[in-house]
Amino acid sequence: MSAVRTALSRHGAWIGILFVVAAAILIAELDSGISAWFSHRGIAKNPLEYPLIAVALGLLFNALLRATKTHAVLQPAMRTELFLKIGLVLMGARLDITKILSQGAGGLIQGVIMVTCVFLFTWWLGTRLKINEQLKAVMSAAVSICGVSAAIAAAGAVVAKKKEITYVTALVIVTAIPLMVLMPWIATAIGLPADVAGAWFGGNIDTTAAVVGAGTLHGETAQAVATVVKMSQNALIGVAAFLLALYFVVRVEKNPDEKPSAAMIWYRFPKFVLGFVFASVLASFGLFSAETVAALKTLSKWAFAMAFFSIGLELSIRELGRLGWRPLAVYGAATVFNTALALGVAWVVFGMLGF
Amino acid sequence: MTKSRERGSETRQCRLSEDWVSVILGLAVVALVAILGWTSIPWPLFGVFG
Repeated sequence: MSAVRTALSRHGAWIGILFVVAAAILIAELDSGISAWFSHRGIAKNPLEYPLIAVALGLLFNALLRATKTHAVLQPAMRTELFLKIGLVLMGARLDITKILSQGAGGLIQGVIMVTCVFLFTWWLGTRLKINEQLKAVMSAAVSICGVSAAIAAAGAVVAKKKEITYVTALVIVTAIPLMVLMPWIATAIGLPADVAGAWFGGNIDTTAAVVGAGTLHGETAQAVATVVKMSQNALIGVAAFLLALYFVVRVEKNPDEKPSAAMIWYRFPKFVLGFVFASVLASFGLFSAETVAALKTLSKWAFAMAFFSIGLELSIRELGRLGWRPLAVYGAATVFNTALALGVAWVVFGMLGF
Repeated sequence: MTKSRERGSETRQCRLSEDWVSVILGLAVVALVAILGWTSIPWPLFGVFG
């Protein structure tokens, strides 16, 4: 056993990558087997789609790795955001740019409304419950924009402590998993149109991985709209990080030497969006055959499967145990507010105004 | 304060490089599949999803 641990500590990252790829193969096989099982019983659409299988499998291996004390060694390979961003770039190749622009306009309108209202609500509630400025900023960005990515961007802007980032990241992941499962179910139960449902998922769920997961559980249209709405919201990371940096420099830290600039917005801009848009432009010019588009769709699912598996792997019960009630109360209230507001805004923007 | 600033800078560097890695890898895969064609990549498991 000690020999295994020594080998793991030496080559942890590479073994971890092989482990995540092997898990993705297992997820693909399980997905295929479960789909066939339902199909033989006359159920065309598999209700247990691969995001759910991937998260569940990740949680199972999370417990096994922690029990054998090998979790920390394999952690460098648990790159949820990286797998997700690669999947989103690949996904760009199957989206027509004209469709993205029409949905992106609605997504941007929804994004601006949602980010502004949810950020200010979370900030106000955090002030009322006397949460420190840095944690309040990281939490407000995470719940209003796009979870972990926004939390990391905001943490850089306000120079938050590592434990504050970990704290919010744990909350984001714990909240995202039930929302990923419940929201598609509720959307189907109340008969939401696919585009409104997608806009609701994209406007409310904090992690991009879970947004794509919820969209996938609902259907292909909802997945596409949810992703575009979430990406429009993601594009606001740079603006939010810039405004946070400006606020902390001018008001909180009062450092006259640090002057914010347009370069800071570009520096913090999520660059994977450029890859997504570039792949979409190529697709819009008709450069890809139907076979190529289908192949890229499959490959994006492989990347997403690895991302969802990593979500399950990264969840830490110990981190959750360290959570106090005040930030938990703020995050919970902000999520409820976000859910209700996102449904209303998605209904108006995508249902009534027809974006 | 200096240490926390350094940590913040490392976080930004990490996110920045991860973003570019995803763009480069993603577009490289798109180019590979578009140029070589799907059927020339011999991995039967690729067909499992979807």
